Amino acid sequence: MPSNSPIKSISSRTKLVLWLIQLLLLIAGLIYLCLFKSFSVVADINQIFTVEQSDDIRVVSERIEQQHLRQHVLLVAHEKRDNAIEYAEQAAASLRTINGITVNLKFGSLPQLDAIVKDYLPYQHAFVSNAYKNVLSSGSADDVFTYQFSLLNEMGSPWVASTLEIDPSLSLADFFNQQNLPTTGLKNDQGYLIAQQTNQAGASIYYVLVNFVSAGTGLDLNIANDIATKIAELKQQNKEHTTGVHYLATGAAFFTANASNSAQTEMKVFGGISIIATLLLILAIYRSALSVLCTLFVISVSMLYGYSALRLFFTEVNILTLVFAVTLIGIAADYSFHALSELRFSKLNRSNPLLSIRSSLLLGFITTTAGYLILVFTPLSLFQQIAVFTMAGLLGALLTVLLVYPSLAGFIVKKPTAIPGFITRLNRWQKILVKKRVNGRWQIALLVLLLGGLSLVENVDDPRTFYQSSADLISQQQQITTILNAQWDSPYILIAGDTPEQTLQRSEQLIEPLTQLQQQGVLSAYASISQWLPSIATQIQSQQLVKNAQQSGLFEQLNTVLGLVVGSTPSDYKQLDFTTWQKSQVAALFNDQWLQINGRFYSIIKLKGINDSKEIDRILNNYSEVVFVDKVSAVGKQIGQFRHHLILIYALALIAAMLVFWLRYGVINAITAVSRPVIAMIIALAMSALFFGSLSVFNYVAGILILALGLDYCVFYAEHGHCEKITLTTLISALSSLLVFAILIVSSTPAVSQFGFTVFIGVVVVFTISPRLALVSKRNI
Amino acid sequence: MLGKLTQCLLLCALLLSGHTLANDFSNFEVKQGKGQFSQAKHFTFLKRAIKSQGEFVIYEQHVYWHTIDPVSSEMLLLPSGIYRRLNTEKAYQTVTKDKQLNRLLAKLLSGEIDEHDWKITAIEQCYKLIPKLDDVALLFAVVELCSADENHRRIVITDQQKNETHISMQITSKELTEGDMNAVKLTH
Repeated sequence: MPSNSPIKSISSRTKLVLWLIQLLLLIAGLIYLCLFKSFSVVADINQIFTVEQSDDIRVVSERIEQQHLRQHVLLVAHEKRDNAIEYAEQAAASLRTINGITVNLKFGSLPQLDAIVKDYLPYQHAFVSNAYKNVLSSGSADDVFTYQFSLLNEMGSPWVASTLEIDPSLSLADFFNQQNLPTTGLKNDQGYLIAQQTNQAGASIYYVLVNFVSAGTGLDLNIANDIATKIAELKQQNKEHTTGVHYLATGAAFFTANASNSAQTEMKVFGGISIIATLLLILAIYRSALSVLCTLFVISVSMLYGYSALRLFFTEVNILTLVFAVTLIGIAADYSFHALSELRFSKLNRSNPLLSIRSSLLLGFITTTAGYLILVFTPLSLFQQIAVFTMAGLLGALLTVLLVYPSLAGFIVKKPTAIPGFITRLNRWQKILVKKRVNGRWQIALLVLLLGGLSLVENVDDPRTFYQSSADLISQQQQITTILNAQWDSPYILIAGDTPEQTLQRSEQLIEPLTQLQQQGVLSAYASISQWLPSIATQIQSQQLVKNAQQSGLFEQLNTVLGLVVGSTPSDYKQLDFTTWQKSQVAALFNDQWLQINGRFYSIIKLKGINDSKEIDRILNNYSEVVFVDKVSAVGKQIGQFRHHLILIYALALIAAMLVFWLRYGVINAITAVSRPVIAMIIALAMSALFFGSLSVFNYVAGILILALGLDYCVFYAEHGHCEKITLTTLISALSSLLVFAILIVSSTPAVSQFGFTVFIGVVVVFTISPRLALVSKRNI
Repeated sequence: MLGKLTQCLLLCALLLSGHTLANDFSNFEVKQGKGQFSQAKHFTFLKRAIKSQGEFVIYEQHVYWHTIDPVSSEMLLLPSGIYRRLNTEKAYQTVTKDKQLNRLLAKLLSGEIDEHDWKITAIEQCYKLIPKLDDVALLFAVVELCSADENHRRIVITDQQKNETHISMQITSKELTEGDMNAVKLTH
């Protein structure tokens, strides 16, 4: 053991002073951070994953995401339209009391058929559908007439009657026929946007739209909570069975508030139970109120360190990080257990009470921190945050134990206490178990079998499976999208250009492949500005095509049927440019599909009913400046890659641990030490696969914690041999960890539950098999 | 007093019976059947009507509308949308997936008139139907539905621009062959 280190020469009082100084510095730093650095806790689960994208695409997609996050919809429903409007007015007034949101109840008129036609009529023959173009290109007068007459004869098309007089070629009517106006579910009634539906009893239900947008970028957690509370109050105030009013609401605020409340509740419940159980455990073993207070103090300081580190390194922390942070209670308390066991069950060394466990504590800290340090380099911010919080927390716990406990030694223990009888018995069983160890070949065979089994297990990387949204919120969202007829999927296509014309040209190149994908069933619908506004080049081409057809006499049959005298073709064809189109009635419906950022122009194509996003991505790869933005899929892909990288991470962690053990205990013993947590991790993963039916990245990340905790146990057995004190300490350490991770298993968030289960099994296994390392200790020789 | 009460009751009974009669569309209903149609579209700004004729098949509100003269084109009105196929095409093309519209058109052609969809006024042998839904009102300002007998009906659709579409339908059979049944499916 190192006996001449500089720390030995420092007195307990000096250690306490040093600890106080560093704590004051920490508190000063934290105050500075609180005052001068922005920090927020977000509850949007999607933000825990970041996707690697090029700079401009990231900026644009973030802008779109922020816009989406800010938008909220409330539908106020009633069988009587006037009542629906009255309750909508009340809801809007209530929402307006929240600072930081803008509430819209009255809107400009929706585009009417005649007004839409009026915007397009001056640009004769500029708008021709692909189908019409194909018929014209065929050059067959009969085919042209058949096509035109079927349009003329069609039932239920209002466009023919509105355009025929000005455009007898019917090309504009056909162009409009091919379009679908967005938000057809709403009608403007005296400024209110109202959707009308028939319920199962056959009665009409009127839904009045209240739209509200949060100011600034993104969504503040407090605003989200305020919004959710206001809507809950409205529902409470106007109960459906007494007033007949029904509210449907959706938007990020509701999901955020729900996730936040659920996480906060879990944090309080899990944290509370963990702390109480840990403290009861200490009380039962050490039978001292001061031991309980000391451990509570270590946990509190470690939490303070963890929180300070989060504030220092991050500006935004996910609420899920705080749920995972509960695990620090179980790990940080370990340092206190080791120190308390040393102080209570050993002969007290007054000058340096923790001297004999100092190197074990440091070695344990290094191995655990190394495990978490690896997580810092992962691409997933959630794991980075958990790792930073835990590492800083462990440092705080270690410093507190090493620097404060020596001063408290005299109070903690008056005289050495006897180790409880059941620990003696457990220690005896452990020794028997170590002697009856399984043959190495069998161990290898079992591991190979389990690894083979694990290679067949399905790995789920879809981030949507990591959390569970409220069924009620999902139901409301689905009802609203159905009522408003706005069921667009979250992936979209982003097209960039240096000018509006270039962006439009690139967009219209996609119409044909998208139509083909639609016919193949890869997607059910898409909405692009270029469907309503072809590029200038395409408009000129269309006008030339119609002009040639007219001059070739292809329209004669139709003119005869209509009784029209063939006139001359216009000589001054005009084209509709993007700036003029932006003032049109239709353009207002596409505001969220056009962006101008840093002098570039971006168009968004919305997609519906995507069945095969890989195929869309593959097709779009052939086009320049076109990106298929599918965050869920990209995150899933990234998680999949990370999962594969984890194997490398495991290997690195084990090599690092091997080196440390090799230097201290020799190569054979190093292999034995490293194999303990590896066996535990593989068994834990296999059990998790059996329990959940599949594995996720959270199970694999739990493996790192098993390695870290397992190596920690191995260090203590290797350093101190098979003594009862170490059996006691590792038992309490394992029990406190198990308490925390067992509670996580019941979390409503699948990711937390998966993580908790795997660590739980891993800790049980590693606690059972790590005493084998006692054979390494020189104290047993 | 009793006389007045009797008169009042009689009047109420008359009104009620009239109301019942007004809503009796059983004569128009065609669960299944086939026949011929002729159609004439009168645009206010054209001197002559656009005339066409052909055949139709109706099966449980699925309508196959085959124009034969002056050009051949087929139209399918299904719950999922309206589809069109020209004689030059192999597959049907989607005209609209507007469910409100195709549901109403299919119901109108198969004579299933629902009071939830229309404001109904009875005029002699005809009914005047005004759509209740705003979306539909954009297409049909008013619809006149007349029936001379069980197998013959006349429909006049007037749009917002006062253009009129006159449709005359003659049901020739209520038995459908396998070919007729296939015609009302989008699978072919």
